[in-house]
Amino acid sequence: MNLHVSPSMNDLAAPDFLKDGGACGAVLRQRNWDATQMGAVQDWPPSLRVMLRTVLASHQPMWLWWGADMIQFHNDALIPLLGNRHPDALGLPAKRAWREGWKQIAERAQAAMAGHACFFEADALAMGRGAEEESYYTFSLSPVCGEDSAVSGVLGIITDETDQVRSSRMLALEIEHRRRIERHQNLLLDELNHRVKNSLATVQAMAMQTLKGVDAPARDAFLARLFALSSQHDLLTMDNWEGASLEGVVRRALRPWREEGQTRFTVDGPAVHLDTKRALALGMGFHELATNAARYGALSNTTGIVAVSWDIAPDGRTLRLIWRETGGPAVAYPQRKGFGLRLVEHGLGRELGGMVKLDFAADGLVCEWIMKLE
Amino acid sequence: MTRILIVEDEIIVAMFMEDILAELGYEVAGVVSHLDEAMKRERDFDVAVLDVHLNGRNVFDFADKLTAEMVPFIFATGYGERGIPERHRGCLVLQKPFQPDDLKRALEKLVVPAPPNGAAHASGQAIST
Repeated sequence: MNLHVSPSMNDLAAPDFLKDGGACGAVLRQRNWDATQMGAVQDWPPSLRVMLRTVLASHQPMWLWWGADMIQFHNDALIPLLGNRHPDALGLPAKRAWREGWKQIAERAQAAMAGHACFFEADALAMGRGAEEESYYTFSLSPVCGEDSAVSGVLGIITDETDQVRSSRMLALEIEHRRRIERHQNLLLDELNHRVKNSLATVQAMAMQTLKGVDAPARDAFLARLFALSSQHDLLTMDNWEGASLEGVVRRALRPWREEGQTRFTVDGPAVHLDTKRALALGMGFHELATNAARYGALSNTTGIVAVSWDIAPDGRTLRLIWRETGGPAVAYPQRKGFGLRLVEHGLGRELGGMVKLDFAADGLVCEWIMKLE
Repeated sequence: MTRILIVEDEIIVAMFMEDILAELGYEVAGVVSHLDEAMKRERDFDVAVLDVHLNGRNVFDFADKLTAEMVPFIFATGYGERGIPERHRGCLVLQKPFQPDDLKRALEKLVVPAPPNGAAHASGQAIST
């Protein structure tokens, strides 16, 4: 017996039109429809056959309800969504096929039978996953016309959105959680800034009281250092203690020596982000260099210039930073290095894990730092 | 002579401000370190310098009262401008720690300039607002 012919529209006429319908098609073919309200398969109208063939062959989860009782036909792609309602639901009136889920869509189903198409996005439906498990579906119900142009059935097309809904809810929770942490961190940061500033103000007041009339230069040097530290803290505060730009650190450290309408500094280099430790250490280093320059170097006369420049080595993480003074008085190697230069030469070298070279060249001090960036 | 009220709970900082203000030629009306005390204070001052955090409370109720009574004031705070509520934005804010000069400039914006240093006691030079 060789009844197999390639599927074509001609097959629609044959009673065997369900044969390419996968597992669902097979169940439908084996069923004896003569005794049901659907009647014998060979008598089913062409509109039903075309729709059914389309539904059964599709990989998109779909079903068709047909006739006044909305007899259900669904495809293999819908099986995972139906759970244990398959295969019983095949050929049952929709009300029974959908069991406890029917009350959720009965009204919408009847509206579609009355000719009103509808579409729902991420709607909670009790499908086959079980009632206790929340599940969400995007689906549409579209009226299907029969031979007489009256609505004879409804086409349902559905997509399971449960995973998407769940993950977007998780994401919303996660975002809320992070916001809460961020708010808390901001409170802590505000408190930290407040305490640091108040402590510095207290230290300043104590120094003023203790050193009153004793040693004015020492007091002024101390206060200048205190303000340099305080000013670099401001810079870090502005960025929530996530570090600061190298250029910002340099400009802030040099601010006390800026003069209106005069160019005593040039600052030049690519954008570099410093962590808080490096930012504070370099800020203090620049303060000491500028203080030294104001006493002995390029900032001690009216013509000297300080050029600060840096670049990054091709490895992307080695910073080379140069402080170069020109136009100041002739430089001699100091007989004794004060706190400031010692801090720059040794302290920073150790703290920043790099190399510092001080060159007391005759035409101006040159300080070169080489350090690894994290 | 312009009389200044210092509202500050760090006693050393308050003493420091007393010294600076005296050097600048202002009269210190008093030092207050609690909000309640500030709220009850009689109007025996012309200008107030307000620390924002006073023993766990903030000073803004007092700032509101001064605003209503049209008494000029300056905030002095470790938070800087971002610790100041919207309604007081635009007020003078000193970021702690501040230099004596910063306080001097802020006061000069609010009141008639103080006399030159040391001249505070010469009669007829200081003008009370």
